[in-house]
Parts: sequence; structure tokens; C-alpha cells
Amino acid sequence: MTNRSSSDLRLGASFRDPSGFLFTRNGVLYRQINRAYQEHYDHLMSSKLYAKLVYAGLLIAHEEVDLAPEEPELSYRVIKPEPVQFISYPYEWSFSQLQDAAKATLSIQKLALEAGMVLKDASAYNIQFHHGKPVLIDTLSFEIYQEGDPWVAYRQFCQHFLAPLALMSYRDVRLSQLLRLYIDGIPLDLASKLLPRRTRFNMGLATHIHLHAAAQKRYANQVVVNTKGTRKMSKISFLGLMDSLESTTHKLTWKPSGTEWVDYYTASSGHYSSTAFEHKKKLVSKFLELLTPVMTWDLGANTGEFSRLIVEKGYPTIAFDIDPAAVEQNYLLARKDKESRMLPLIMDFTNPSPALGWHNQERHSLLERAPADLLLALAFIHHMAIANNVPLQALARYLHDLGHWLIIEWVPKEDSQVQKLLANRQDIFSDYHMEGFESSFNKYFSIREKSTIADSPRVIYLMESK
Amino acid sequence: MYFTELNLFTSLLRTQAYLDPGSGSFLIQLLIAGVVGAGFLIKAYWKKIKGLFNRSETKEEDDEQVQQ
Repeated sequence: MTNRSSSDLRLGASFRDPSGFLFTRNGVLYRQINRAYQEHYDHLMSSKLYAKLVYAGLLIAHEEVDLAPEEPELSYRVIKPEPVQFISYPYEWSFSQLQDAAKATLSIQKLALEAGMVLKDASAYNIQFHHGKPVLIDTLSFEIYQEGDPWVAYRQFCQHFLAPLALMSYRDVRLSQLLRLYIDGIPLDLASKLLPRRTRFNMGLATHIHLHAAAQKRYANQVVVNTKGTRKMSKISFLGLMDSLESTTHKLTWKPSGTEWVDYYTASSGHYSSTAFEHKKKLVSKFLELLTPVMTWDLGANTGEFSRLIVEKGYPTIAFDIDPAAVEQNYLLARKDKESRMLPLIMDFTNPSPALGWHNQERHSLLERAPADLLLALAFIHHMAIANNVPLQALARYLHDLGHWLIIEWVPKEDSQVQKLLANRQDIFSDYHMEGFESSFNKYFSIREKSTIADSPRVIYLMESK
Repeated sequence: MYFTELNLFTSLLRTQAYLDPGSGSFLIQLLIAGVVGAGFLIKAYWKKIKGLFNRSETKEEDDEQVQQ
């Protein structure tokens, strides 16, 4: 991080909206509300829309504070929003997480309309998962509804939510990664081209994606002349539009199946004997008793079996996995159980989320959101070191940057999983053995505990960063 | 249909919308406004109409309800 002047304390993503912006002071997050936004903010509060949304768990709560504003010439008020524990991005979400974020956006818009307000943007980045549920974090996104106006955020909703969800549902779940490339959602003409022909017979998708894309292209260079009263959109039509978007969104489905990881833990797959599995759980729990991690990252969490051990002790955990099906299953289970302390996310640790957007500062890389207090690297090391040729020392160095405490499982070459990985390739891993592992990691960590797993060649370690 | 200019109603004074909504996105909404509006009304009253037919009592139909 370079030195910053006071004007640089404005957060990297918070610059496009003249209504206000986020800034930090002494490590605390605040939002300045500009005078330009005054009447809308006052209406949000006085109409009780704010109270309704916060009570419904749809909007992040805030308090008004007596703080010197960051830019006094523009400022109306400063508020302190409740901080979100971990910032995640739509390209890290599974299908249902993105769908729930879309549904939340539309629910918020419907409630807002009852109070005479509309959302002026429908960006997926305005939603964060807070205590396991999607909430709107942009308090300044509301503006007073003027009957007759179409929804100004319609394009954004279609690009950020509908297009990726449709692509995941109809083509391939991995297409959500296009959101990494297109920071303002997937362009509709691209989505239209990629979606199969049968989506043209789906009323909602035909209208909101295909027809919408065609209209965008057709009128891209047309002059828009401001005149009064020619064409308007009544409130009923507005409600109808919301209804149409809602049913189109709700009807999209994705069933995770047939991917390699989903069956990993079932007894029949034979990867783990149940003795080994139970003992591993006991050992992780035992190591956990020595710690009080404020934030835990489970690397390669699969469906969150071990994340749940952490979470059940009351410690918030992010359950990362490369497989969208595993993350989806984990999320659906967490949602059903109303689990508020775990957040499943999609992450490829050989290519983790980079910094994106303007000045590479709008969306933080995974590293910028590190470190965690505790890392779980169970059944992880061989996927880095063997499957992806990452040298053990490089892995140690990376994990050292990611977290302070580390519970890591050493998976030796004799293990059936490693044998599988080596089955069709040359064994070039002469340094991949326990002594090599321990000496590489000793450069960055101190080994605190070491236990062999019963009925298994694997060994579990507890390490602390040096 | 060929438009050289698109006339839309916007208000210059109170626009807080900092996003570029796109002419196409505006136009689509106006195009479908009638359809989605009608669809919404039908949906809203379909439940009421269904409710009337499902009643097993011999009560007379409430005219006011139907006319709403």
C-alpha cells in the first residue's frame, strides 16, 4: 500500500455516485452523504422504508454520527454503516447465491416502491452476504419515485443478475466467471449470442435479454431528446416490470450434479475410511481448542464438513472451494439451516481473485482481503504441489500471507489420492516428502502440534506464522 | 419502425441517476409497459376471480368485488 493523502481515504469503488461516498478514518468505515442527496435520504428515513428494510434483513443498518466530513463543501451528513465481516464479489458466488442476491434486489425495489422510492442502481456489488444472507450495503441507492419514469437500473439488473444466471442455467455454470471480465455485468449482446435458441421461447428471457440486447444495439447512437409527456411508464407498468423480472429470475434453476467432488465424502467412494475421517475431525477440534480465531478460511472446503466444525464453536468461517457444485451444495445446506456464521465461496487458489476495476482498486484481490486468523488446509496440499506443480516453499510463503494460524494436512505420496494424481504423469516431485514439507514450512511457520491420522498415511499439523 | 430521434420524457432538474440507462433500455420498458402492466393486473385479480369460483357456500356473489 502506498502512502495516501487525505483525499485518497475515499474507498476505491466509491466514486461514481455524486450522492456520496465511503471513506475510512482511523480504521473505521463511514459514508458521507452529499447535499445533492439530502431530500432522498430524508425521505428514506422519514417514510420508514429504512426501518422496514433493516428489520427485514435486506439493508445494512447505520447510525448517524457527529463526525467531520471528508469533503465538507459537499456534505450533508455522515453516517456509520455496520461493517460487513468479509467482502465477496459476484464472480465468487455460486448460482443460488447470485440468484438470492437478485431476488433480494427485487424485493427491496418492491418495498421501496410502496414507500415512493426506487433503486437507482441494481449492481450486484451493492449486495454483500452478511450473516449468511444477501443485504444491500448502498444506503444511497434509493431515490424518490417519479411516476412516469422507467426503471433507470433495469439495464444494470439484466447485466449483473439475469444474464449471468441465465448463462449458468442454460449453458454452463462456469460462465459466472465472465463477471470478472465485465465489471458492469455481462453485456446483453454477448449473453444473447451465448444463450441457446430455446431461451427465445422463454417470455422473460426473450424480452429482458434478447429483445433488450437488440434494442440496445439498434438505438445505441440515437439522440435522446427531452420533451414532456410523450411516453410515460405508469406505476402499474413499473410493478408489472418488477413482477416479470421476478418470475423470470425465480424460474431459473441449476442442479449441481456429476462433478468429481460431490461424492468425495460418501463412504462408497472409498477415499476415506470412516475411522480416518472421524479421527481427523477429532484432531481438528482438538487443535481448535487452543485457538480463538476471529475469522477462519477453509481452503478447499468442499461441502463444508470441516468448516462446520469451526462454525459450531461460534467462529465465523469462509468455506472456499474451486467446485461450483460443492459451493452450491454447501450454501443450500447453510441456507436451509439458517447458518449465519459460514459463507461458502468459489475460489481457485492457483488463480485467486485479482484486483479489478478503475485503478485496480474497485474490487479487492483475495490477498488484499487477507489475512485470516486461521487457515484450514485439509486435503489441499497435494492439489497445489502435485496437481499444479507449486513448490512446497512457495506454498508455505503464500499461506503465510493468507493467515496467521494454519491447520494443514500432510498428504504423502503413498496416499491413494496422490497416487491417482501421479497415475498418468512423470513423478518429478523428488522434494515432495515429509521432511521436505516440514523444512519448507519451517521457514515461515513454527510447528506447534503434529498428529498422525488413524488408519491413514496422512498427518495433521498446527502451525503458527513466524 | 425507424426512429431518427427518440422522444422520451425525462426531467433534467431532479435526475439523480448517474448511470447511463441506455436509450435501448428505456425504449424496451416503454414498449413492454402495456404488456407487463396488463399482465400484472390480470395476475393480481386472477386470485380474486379464482377465489370467487372456489367458494362452496351459496352466498351471492359480491358485485362490488367483481367490478373492482
